Amino acid sequence: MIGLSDILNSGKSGLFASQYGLSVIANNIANVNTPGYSRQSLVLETDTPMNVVPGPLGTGVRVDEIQRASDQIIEAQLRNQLSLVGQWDKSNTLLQGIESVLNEPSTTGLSQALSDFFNAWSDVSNNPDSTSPRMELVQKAQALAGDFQGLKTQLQTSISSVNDEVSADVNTINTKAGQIAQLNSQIVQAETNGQKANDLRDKRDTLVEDLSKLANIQTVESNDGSLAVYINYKVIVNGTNTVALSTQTVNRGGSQMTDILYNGDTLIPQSGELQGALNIRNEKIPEYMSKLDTLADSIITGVNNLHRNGYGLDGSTGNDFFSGTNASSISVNTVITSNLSEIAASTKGPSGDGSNALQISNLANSFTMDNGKSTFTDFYGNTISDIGSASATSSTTLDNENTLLAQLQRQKSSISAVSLDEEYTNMINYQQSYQAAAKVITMANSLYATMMGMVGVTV
Amino acid sequence: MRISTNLLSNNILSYIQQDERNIFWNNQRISSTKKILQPSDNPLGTDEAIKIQNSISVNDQYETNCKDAISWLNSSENATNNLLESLTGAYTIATQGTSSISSAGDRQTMGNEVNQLLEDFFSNANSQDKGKYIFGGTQTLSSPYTAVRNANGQITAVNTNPNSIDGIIDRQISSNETIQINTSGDDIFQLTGGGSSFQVLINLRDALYSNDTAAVTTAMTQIEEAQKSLDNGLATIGARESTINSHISNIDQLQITRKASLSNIEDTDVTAEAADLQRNELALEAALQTGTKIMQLSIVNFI
Repeated sequence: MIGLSDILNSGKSGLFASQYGLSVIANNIANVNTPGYSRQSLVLETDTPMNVVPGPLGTGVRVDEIQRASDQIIEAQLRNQLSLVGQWDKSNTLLQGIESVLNEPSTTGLSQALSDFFNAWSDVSNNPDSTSPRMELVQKAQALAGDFQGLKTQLQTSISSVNDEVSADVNTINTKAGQIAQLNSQIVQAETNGQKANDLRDKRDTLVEDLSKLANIQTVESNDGSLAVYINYKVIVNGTNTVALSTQTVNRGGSQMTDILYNGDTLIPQSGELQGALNIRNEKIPEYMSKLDTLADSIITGVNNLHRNGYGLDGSTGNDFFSGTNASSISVNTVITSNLSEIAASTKGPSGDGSNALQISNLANSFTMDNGKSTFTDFYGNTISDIGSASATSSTTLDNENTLLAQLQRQKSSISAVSLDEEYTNMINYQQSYQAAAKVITMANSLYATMMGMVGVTV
Repeated sequence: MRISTNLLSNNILSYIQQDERNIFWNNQRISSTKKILQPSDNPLGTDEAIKIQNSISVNDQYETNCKDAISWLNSSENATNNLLESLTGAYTIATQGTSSISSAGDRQTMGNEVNQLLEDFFSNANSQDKGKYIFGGTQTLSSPYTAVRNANGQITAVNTNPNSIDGIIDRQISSNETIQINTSGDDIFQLTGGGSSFQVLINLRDALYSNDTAAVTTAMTQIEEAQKSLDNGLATIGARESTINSHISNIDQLQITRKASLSNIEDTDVTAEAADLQRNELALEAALQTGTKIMQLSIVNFI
């Protein structure tokens, strides 16, 4: 047998459901700009009906759960793409940084210093008996040496900055892994009653996305809601436990390099910013430094070999023009800088003979590099071109990956992000249903009063 | 596709940023006048630019070398012409000297004139170009010829500086060509039969002083030989000057071509860039205008 209280209860359930709905909408609207927030919506169900005849009769509405709009497949694709973008972004930044110190093509870079140096030898050969061409020569030689040293230093600085970044990133990864572990325990606890911990899951997803930018991440969710996180398929978060990454600085090829260690073994993430940075630092920069060293060494050796056999204005012979063996140590022999007459311009000795200087000047045209296939300028030009190509490639790839990322972000946004217009519309809906439910309660109340009146009680 | 509030604004923002980025680079290229601002803008072009730049630099040096050579050769030419003049003068006097009309006293006067020509000849043999002795081979800082004088200060003999007077002085005029610019004193002052032009003039003067017409006649034949040596020297100098001058004009021509190639690779095409800039500015304006309009639309305005 149904009673007035059943009408009251139905009205009450409608009121609560509308109130709930409005609360969820308020939360969505408040969080419209919160990064990583997935919009929430109410899932309403009819309450258990009463088994009466005629019937069954519905007893109102029940809030089943608050649902969070999130697609895990898009999320996984998005994380993957974030890693790729991170990798190419970091590569691009580092390569552009290297390019900007090259100062080529220009009339003030190393290639011009190289031309000027060999031309200065030609001037000495035109005037082997006077001092000022020798002064010019020493200046140009010192400028060339300075350019070599400068470039090497810049490349070393790049390596150091990558080392710093690796250390900082490892700290970040460890910190975020710890935070994910904490959230795991909170989520597991919150979900024991069968409800989804929506906001906590949003937070955890954001942390995993942050990690994805730095390295390639794999995740596995278990039934109790806990998320296991892996880098290169090596576990860093499992439930509430974490495995911390560490760093180790070693000397490789003459430079200090900071490596990432996982349980004592070197770890190089397969994508992400760390991959980009480590690839440039471990492969590309040493390659460029080695080319500069080879070029400097060839110049030093070529010039010195000829110079030793020549004679200075004061009859001296057997002196080296350059000291040093590579691009970091190349410098003009102090014997020369302190006594310009010892510049061996002559092959035979007399003051007017500049034939040795002429030979040295001609080294610039000789095929001294690449097993006799390239001149110094050819070799340097190729090196610069290689750096330019690598940078151009990274730039183009970055653009492409960014386009794909934008697409995925759009998709995620379409599913998860708040639309204010949508919320306003729903708000109007719930407002009206609240008003309607209130009317039902008012109506049920007046029925009570009527009924009381019928049995003689004044209400 | 469901559109969320942030999707709209992020989209608008990203297009605006893209337009601003394009405008930024247009501006950079126009104001720096270079379209290769860093190697990645055009890796192959950068390589070519470096090589062409080097070529221009090296050829500028060759031109400097050529001009330095021309200066030396001009000095050599002047000196050689002066030497020839002295010899011609001496020959004329010698002719008079052999004439029976001349007296011993006349011959004394002639002897003095020849002595003056000898001094001129000796002085020109020690000519310099920019402070360097031009007939001294590679011993450019010490005079190639020294005079032995008698009590009256007259030259009795001329000695050659023995060191490297036959040394070769070269100038590099192209990547595979050097050219000798100096004339060896040995070549132009030595006579094929032995003896030097200096000795010839000394002999002539002494012959005139001692009134020895037979010796004067001998000297005249020797003068002719001396003139031949100098003429040969002059011809060589002329040939060298001609080679170098044509090199200079070649280099000038090629430098123009090289600079044009370099400009093609490196320099901004300002007209095209400015047109591009205008297009991008229009795009930015449109994006800004429509963007703000769209972002202001909300259902709240109508409730």
